[in-house]
Amino acid sequence: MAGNDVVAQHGFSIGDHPGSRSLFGLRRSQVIGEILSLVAAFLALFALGASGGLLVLVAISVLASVGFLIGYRRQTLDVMVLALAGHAHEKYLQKQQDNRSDIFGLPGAPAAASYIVSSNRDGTVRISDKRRRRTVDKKTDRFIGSGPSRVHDVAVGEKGVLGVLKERHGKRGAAAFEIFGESFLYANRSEQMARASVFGSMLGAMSAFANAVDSLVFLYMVDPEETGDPMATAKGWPEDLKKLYCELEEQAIRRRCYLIVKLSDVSLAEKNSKELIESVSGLGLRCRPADSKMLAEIYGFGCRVAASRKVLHMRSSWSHILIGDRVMRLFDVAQLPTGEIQPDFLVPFISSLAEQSILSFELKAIDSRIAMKKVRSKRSGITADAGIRALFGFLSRASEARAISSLEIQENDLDLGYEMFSVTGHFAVFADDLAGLGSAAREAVTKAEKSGLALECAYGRQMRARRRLFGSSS
Amino acid sequence: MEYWVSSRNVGAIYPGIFSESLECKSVLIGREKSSGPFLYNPFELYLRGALTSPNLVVFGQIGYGKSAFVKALVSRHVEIGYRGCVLDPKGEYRALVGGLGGSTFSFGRGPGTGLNPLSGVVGAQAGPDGKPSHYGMLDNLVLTFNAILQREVSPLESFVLDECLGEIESTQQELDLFDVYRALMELGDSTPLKFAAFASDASHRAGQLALELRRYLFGDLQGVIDGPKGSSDQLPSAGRFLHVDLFSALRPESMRVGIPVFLALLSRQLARTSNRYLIALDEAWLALASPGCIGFFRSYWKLARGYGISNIAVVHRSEDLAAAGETGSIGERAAVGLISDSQTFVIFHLDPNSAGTLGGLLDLSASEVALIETLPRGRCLWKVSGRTFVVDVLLTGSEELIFNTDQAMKP
Repeated sequence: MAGNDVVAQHGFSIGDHPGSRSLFGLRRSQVIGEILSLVAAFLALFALGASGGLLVLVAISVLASVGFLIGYRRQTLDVMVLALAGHAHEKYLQKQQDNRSDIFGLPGAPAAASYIVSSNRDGTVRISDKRRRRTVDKKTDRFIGSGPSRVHDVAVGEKGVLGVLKERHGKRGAAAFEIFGESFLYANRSEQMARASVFGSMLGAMSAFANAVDSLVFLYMVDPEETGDPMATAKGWPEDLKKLYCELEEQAIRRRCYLIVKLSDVSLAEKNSKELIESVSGLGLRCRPADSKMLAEIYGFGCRVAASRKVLHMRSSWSHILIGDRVMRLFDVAQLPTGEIQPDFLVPFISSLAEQSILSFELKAIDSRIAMKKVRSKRSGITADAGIRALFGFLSRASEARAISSLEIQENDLDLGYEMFSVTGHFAVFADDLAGLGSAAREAVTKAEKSGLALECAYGRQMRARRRLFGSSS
Repeated sequence: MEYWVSSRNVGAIYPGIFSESLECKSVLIGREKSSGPFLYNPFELYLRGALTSPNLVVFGQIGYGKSAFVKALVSRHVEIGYRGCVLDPKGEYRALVGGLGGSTFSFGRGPGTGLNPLSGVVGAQAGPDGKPSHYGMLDNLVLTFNAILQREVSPLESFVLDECLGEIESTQQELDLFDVYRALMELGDSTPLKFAAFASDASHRAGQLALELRRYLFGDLQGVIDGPKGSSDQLPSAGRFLHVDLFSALRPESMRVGIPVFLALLSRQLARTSNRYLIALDEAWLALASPGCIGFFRSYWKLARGYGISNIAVVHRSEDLAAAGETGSIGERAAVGLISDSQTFVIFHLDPNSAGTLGGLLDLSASEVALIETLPRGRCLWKVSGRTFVVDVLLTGSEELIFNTDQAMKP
């Protein structure tokens, strides 16, 4: 791959978004607003000309109000309309009992779904939908039954080096690793940049691994929950030391990162598991293949009952999901930091989080030929729009110039042989109750802004955002 | 929102930003800056394969919590069943003895109260009857003279000592350094025929060795290696904590000899037991400044796994190691060898010069060196098998009362 050995000297650029191209550079909502305003003007002229009645005047006032709203509160309205449509869609799916589950989207219907995380005797983890099951014990909420539930067997350790999740009756699957930073934060800046550059190259190579990689998902998880039993660890210690240890455990916050490689044909990954793990560990990154405990932690993250093998009930709402005895709120990463950034740009944000939360980025490789075609088309379109605007005497927009520059860089990168990825980011924060969720969410949004990340709540489509958090393609 | 990022820039979402915890089940040290409790146990980490050497070196300027940390590390290990030993040149660890139910051995208590290096031999070299073998005793004798002379004994001196020892062994069962002194003096008076061509030189060397030894037996350095014959167990064995008080024998010459002799005898005791020991050498620069001593330390460091011990050397600055000799000298190489035979380094605040030197020695990054210069009291940088952690050492209320060495400064 030409050019991939070049180490970024100053920083990386990920946040310059070329924007969407539309009529005269206007957004869709702006175009609709303009059309409604034109219709209102036409009706006004019609009413005047035909000395129309009350109905026409009401129609004019409604259309004018809508046009006004669209014109001046376009973004808000856009979000509200999309959210309403999304929420209606989720409710529709719920009625349809559409239990489509994605291997990492956490199985279950968009609302009122349940799933079970359990460990089998052979060391595998079973993650299954609670569908058509019969309640045998209401007190413990245990279910048995033999309905056609979808089951994902997690074959951990069978191949020695690779933790693999796979569908029982399907080819899709995923390999999961926990990634450790080997003193990355204390390395020299040049070494950090070198490591990150090589990592980018590795992702380029990995995205084409055995032609079977659907996407790569990075999960940054912040977990203030106790995972072990401090009293068991401190057995035999002096009392005051035991007390100190328990206090520290209570205040402890664990921060972890998982890389999930989603594969269209998991058998290829199993066959080439050695190469896959070597491509990760060859970077000086320490990585640990997923084991059953780790996978159960990923799936059960934020749900205290997961470890006890109870069924988890999920119920989605407009702005949150109730899962087990916890609530969570999902956000989209609406803006990545612009300008040059360093590979540790996420550290201040993730380090500052004190509530249980997940930040995820999903990377999907784009075929270079298609990418090149799209980038060129987009660039020529924006350039043409700018030309037309200039022809009509409008001032050029800074965003246009930035978009053109950004597209030129992308085109140049593709020319040099770099892979192109589409990157989507999601964020989730957990709390015990809604009041706590509100304050935790506000705090997270503020902290994200400081790191250049804009978080937008996924109103009305919480369940879908949750699936996307784990890299669901559904 | 979907962004397009090329593989040239996508490295910005670098996932390896947090270190893996040591996942040790004991012993609590304090709080790791970016996560939670920090636990460290060299024996446990060694067994798990996370470390290949259980030895530690602690660096730090005076007043930044170095001693309190070592006290906490040793006492917390002792409290959960390990054995601990501290060679204490400042008498700071006396307060620990009572709390941990240990015992104290003091150097320099007066004539005849020191150790007898010839009543114990390094375990593997004991004779078939369990008694000290000739070569076992010769090893201890050479070690003692290396420390006295602050250099390696020459082949001729070694030959002279070998002959002396042979002479004494032919007439006595139990030996001490007084016997060696007398034999050296006699050798100086009448050189045997076996020295043949270099007889005069041998006679001269024997006289010099005797004179050097005299100071420790009859002179101003009594109470270090002038122990009596007979007792094979010269070290107290009560309790799990042994405090070696070097404060009474504060003179550097006493310590440079007393410390290696003590460790040689201790290693004999260790070879007979299955207990795992933490042996801390506070103010290690005192011993490391002696080239004769540092060679012994290096072999002791290497034998740590064989004896089931974890050595802890406490030095003020990296220059203390460099003081072991000129660049390229045996002492300097041995001091650097101590570093290469250790996998854990605990670094408290250092001034910029020392931090820079240490950075070169331990291959620290510029960020780590800069961090060392700004570490506040009680916070330290850990390098464990190449991995970095920043840890606040935490003491319990009762520990603070015992461990802090600045109590006298408080009203």
